Amino acid sequence: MINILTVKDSLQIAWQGMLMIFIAIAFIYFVIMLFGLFQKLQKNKTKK
Amino acid sequence: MDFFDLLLQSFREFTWKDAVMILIGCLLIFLAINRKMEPSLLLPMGFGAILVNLPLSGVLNQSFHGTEVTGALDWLFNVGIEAAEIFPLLLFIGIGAMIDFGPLLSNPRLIFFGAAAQVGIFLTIIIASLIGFDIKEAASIGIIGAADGPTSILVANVLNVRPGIFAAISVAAYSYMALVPMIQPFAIKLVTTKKERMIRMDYNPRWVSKTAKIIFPIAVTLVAGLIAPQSLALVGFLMFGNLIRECGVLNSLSDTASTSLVNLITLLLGITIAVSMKSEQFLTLDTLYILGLGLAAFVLDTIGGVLFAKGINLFTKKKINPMVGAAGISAFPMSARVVQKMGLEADPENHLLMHAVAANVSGQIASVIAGGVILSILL
Repeated sequence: MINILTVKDSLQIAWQGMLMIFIAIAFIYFVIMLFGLFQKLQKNKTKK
Repeated sequence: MDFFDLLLQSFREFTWKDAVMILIGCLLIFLAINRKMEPSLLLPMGFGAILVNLPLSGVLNQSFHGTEVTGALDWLFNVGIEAAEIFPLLLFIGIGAMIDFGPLLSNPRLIFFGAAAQVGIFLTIIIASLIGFDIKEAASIGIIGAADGPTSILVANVLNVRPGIFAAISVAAYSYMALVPMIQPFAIKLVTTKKERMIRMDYNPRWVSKTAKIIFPIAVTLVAGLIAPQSLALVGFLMFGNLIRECGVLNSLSDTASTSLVNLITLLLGITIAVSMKSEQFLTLDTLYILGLGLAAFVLDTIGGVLFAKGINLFTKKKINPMVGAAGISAFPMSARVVQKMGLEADPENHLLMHAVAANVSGQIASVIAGGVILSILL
């Protein structure tokens, strides 16, 4: 039997869950890019 | 007890449901050996199903005239899964030691496909709740879409679902992982045209230093732990295994983790899960629903990843082959191979493997984060 509260909870879990995953992945992406930038600067420094 | 009572006691307790479960066990063994479907898990699960469905089985806890006798499989289940989910977590150390995040680090934008391809988990949670499962059961069923056996087992156990549901989730998770080469092409062709499947992508990887590969697992652990603390067990053990691999000073531990540890835990995990495959718990309508919902989760994950890629293509000049989005599920490396194969079928000179591998390993990260996020929300 469908429980409306359960369906409501599941919708809430769905949007909150996907948002949290994307935020976590975005943070990880940011860390990767930051590190890549840092490595590029280090490389340019050693070239000079 | 007289002699004939002693001889016939098991036969008296044997029901048609036990017979059906033993046949299911034999079917899992057949699929493992003959069809080579995830043999490392399906064979132990199949044999375990036979062991636990024989009446008065000595592998389960029994009570004889007031005397409690501990069964070996019940003990393994209590210690290895129920207490702190240690079996799946130890398995994650081994899995982490096998993953190379290099392709992802050299092409970081593909990390978002791992996130997108988890959408099937949450859509399945909604569908399961519409069917009538309570929220924790719906979440445990949805996590089949993580395409990751240990994550599914851990989440289902932490959420304390009924044993019959737990068994069905485990069987579904591992069976559908083995069926990825059949499920994904069907789902991809539903939402792409041949022209889209022919899109070529240049492969110009950035150089990735050893230091980056060492810092990456630490950074992921910190980020995931701060955003979803309940994911720390899953993410932490996975990244610990990866750190052992990448540090370069623990080669013997890395080899042990990726071979002996994985083999040992897989051996025990499969047969232990079978404790929840008792006939009275497994042979229910809910099992059929779960098998159907698990399949839906995989299909929706694939479609979600593909549609995300198509959405990105609306805003970018350099097009992404939408099939790479499908590789964002955690079924590594099967999903990447499926995408590579379909790319070559559409265009024999279109090699998508490295892009697909990058999306695939990002799916590994995203799926464990998804498991932790679900636990964070529900606990």
